Amino acid sequence: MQAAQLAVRIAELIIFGALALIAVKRWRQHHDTAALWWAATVGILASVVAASFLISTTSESNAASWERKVLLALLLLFPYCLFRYGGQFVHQYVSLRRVAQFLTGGVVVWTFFLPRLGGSDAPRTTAIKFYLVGILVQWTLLSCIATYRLWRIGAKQASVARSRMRTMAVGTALLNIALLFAAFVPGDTKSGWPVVTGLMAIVCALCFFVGFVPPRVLRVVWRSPDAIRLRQAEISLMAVIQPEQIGAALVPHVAALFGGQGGVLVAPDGTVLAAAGLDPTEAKAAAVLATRATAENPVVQEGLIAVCLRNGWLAVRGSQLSPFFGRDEVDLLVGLGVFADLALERARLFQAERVAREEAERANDELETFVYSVSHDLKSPLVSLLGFLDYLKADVDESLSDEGRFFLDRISAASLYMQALIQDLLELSRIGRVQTESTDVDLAEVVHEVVAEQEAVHPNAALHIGALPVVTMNGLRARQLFTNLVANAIVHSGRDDVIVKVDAAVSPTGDVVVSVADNGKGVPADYREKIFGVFERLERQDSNSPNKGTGIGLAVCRKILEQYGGEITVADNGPGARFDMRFPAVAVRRGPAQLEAAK
Amino acid sequence: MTRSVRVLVAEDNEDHLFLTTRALEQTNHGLKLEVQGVRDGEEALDYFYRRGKYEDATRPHLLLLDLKMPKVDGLEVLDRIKSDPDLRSIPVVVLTSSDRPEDVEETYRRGGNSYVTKPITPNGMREGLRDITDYWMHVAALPEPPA
Repeated sequence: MQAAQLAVRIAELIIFGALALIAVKRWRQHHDTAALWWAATVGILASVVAASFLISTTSESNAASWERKVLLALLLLFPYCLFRYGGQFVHQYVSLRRVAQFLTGGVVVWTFFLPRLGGSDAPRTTAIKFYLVGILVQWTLLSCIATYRLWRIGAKQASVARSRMRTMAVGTALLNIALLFAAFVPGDTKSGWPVVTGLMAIVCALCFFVGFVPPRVLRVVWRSPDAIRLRQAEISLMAVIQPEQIGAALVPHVAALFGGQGGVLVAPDGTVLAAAGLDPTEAKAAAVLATRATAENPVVQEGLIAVCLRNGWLAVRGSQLSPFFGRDEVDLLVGLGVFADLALERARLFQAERVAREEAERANDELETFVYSVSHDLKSPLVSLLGFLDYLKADVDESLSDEGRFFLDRISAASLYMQALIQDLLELSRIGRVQTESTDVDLAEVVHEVVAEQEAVHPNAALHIGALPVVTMNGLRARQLFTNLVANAIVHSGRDDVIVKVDAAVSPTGDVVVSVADNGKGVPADYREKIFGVFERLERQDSNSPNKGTGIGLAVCRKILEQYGGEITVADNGPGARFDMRFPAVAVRRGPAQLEAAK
Repeated sequence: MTRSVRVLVAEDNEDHLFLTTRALEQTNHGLKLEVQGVRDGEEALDYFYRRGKYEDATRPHLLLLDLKMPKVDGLEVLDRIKSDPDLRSIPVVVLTSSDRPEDVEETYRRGGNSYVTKPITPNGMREGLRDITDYWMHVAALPEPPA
C-alpha cells in the first residue's frame, strides 16, 4: 500500500510541477492578470506536493508542527487564487472578494495560532476539529464559486473555450472532493484512502492540464460542432457574390471556431471588409496588423493570428479564455483562408464579368445612338440635294441634251439609293434602341398580307403559305421580317417564275422554326453567314435599281429575331435558298400543329 | 379679296428654309401666303417679341418650327410661346427631320399643335406642306394672330 501511495505522490509531483512550469511560462509570455493568478494557483499546488516529500508526516517535533502550519497556510491560498483566476473573466463583486479575503486571511492566521499540529497519525483534538470545519468552509465556498464561474463563462464561449473552461471547472470540483475525503477519512498508511484521494488529485491535475493546454486531438474534437457550423457558412457562401457578404457570412463563424474575441476579413487595399466581435477601432487595428502577414509568414502576435490570402487577409483575435495554442491553429486559419479566397475570387470574377458586360452594353448603346445621329445628319443634306435636283429638273429639263438629262437621272437615282440606305440604317439602329410593344401576332395573317403585296408587283411568282404559329412580338417587326425575306426570295431568285414557300415546324424543344424557301439561285455556302452583315450583298451594287436592296434587310431580320431570343440562318434548298427563323418556345403562343388541329 | 395668311418658318438650314418656303408658296390655295423665315430659335423669339431687326414684325398666323436649332432650340421656343398668354393662341407645327418618339411626346407635352416629320423627297415635301396648309387654312379655323 505504501508503494502505491508513493507512486501516486510522485505522479502528483510530476504532473503538478509540469502544470506550474507551463503556467509560469505562459504568464511570462502574456503578462496578463489571469495568467498570473493561474500561475499562482498551480504553483501553490506544485509547491505543496513538492514540500510534502520533505516534511515528515509522523514527527511530533515543534519544528515539524511549524512546517506543517506553513504548508497548510500555503494550501489555503489555493482556493483564493483559483477564485481570483475565475474572477478575471466575469464581473467582480468587490464585497465577494472582501469575504474571500477575510475568510482566507482568517483561516491562515488561525493556522498559525493552532496549539500544535501533529502528524497524520496524531489524534484529532476538538480544537483541530473546529479548525478543520473552518478551512472546509473557506475551501469549499471559494472552490464552489470558482467552479461555478469557470462553468458559467465557458457557456458563452465557442466550443474550444467552453470545453476548456468546463474541464477546469470539473478539475476544481474534483480537487474539492479529494480534500473532503482527506479531511474526513482516516489518513493511516494501511488503508487505501490516501491512494484514492491521491488518484483523485491526479485526475484533477489532468483536468487542469487538459483545460489549460489542451492537446491537439482534443482541440480538434472540441471544435467539431463549430466545424459543422462553419461548413454551413461555407455553403451559404456559395449564394453570395459581394465581398462584404462573404465576410459577413464567414468571419463570425471563423472567430467562433477559434473561440477568439473576434475576427476580420481585410480587403487587398487594407480596408476592413467584415468584422465580428470587434468594434470598428479594434477591427481597424487588427486589419493593420493583419496586413503584415505574407503568404510565407502568417502573423502571430498580440493575440492575433493573420494569414495572407490572394484577395486580402483573414485574421482572428484570441481572447484570454482562448489564447492560441500552436501551429495547427495557423494551419486551420490558412485552410479557411483558402476557402475565403475562393469565394472572394468568385466575387471578383463576377464583378469583372458584370463590369465588362455593362461596358459592352454601353458601347453597343453608344454605337446605336451614333449610327442613329449620323444617319440622321446625313438625311439633312440629302433633303436639300433631292429638293434642288427637283427644281433643277423642272427649270432646265427642256433645255438639256439627252446626255445632260441622263446625268441628272443618275444623280437622282444615286441620291434616292443613298436615301434608302440611310432609312435602313436608321431602322436597324431603331430595332436595338427603341423598345417596341409585343402582342400576339398571327404570322399567317402577316404573311398573307405580305404575299398579297408581292404578288401585285411580281405576278409571275408563285407564293405558298403553310400552317404558321402565333408568336409574341411586335406586329410591325413581324411584317418587316417577312417583307424582307419574301421580297428577297423573289428579287434575288434570278427567275421570274420563282416559287416561294413559307412554312413552319415545331422542334422537340418547343421552339418553332418558320422557313421561307425559294427555288432560285440559292446562297453559296461561303456567304451563308456573311449575308447577315450590314451592307453585305451578294450582287454587285447597282444604284440604278435601288429596289434590289441596300444590304441591310437581312441584318434587320437577324436583329429582330435576336430581340425575341430567336435566330435566323440560311440553308441550301435543293435549288434555291431556305431561310430558317427559330422562334423560342417562350415566344410561341400557338404552334402551327395546334393551329392545324384547331381547324 | 384673297385672305392673307402669314406663316413663320423657323429653320436653321438655309437650303431647307428655301425649299420649305418655295414649297409653301407653290401650294395654291387661293390664299395670299406670306412666308417669313428665321434662322434660329433666338431670331424666332426676336420676331415674336419684335426685338432688334424685327421691331416692325407682324405676328404670324402659324409657326412652322424646326427642333434642332442653334442658340435656342425648338422645344425652348415652343415653351416660351406656349407659356406666354399673348402668344399662346398661335398654332405651332413642329416640322423636323427627327422621328424620335421622345421628341413627339415632348412637343405635345409642351403644347405643340402638331408634329410632322420632314418628308425626305421633294414630292413628299411638297405634299406634306400642302397637307399642312390645307389643314390649317381650310379644314381648321385659324385664330387671328395677337397684335
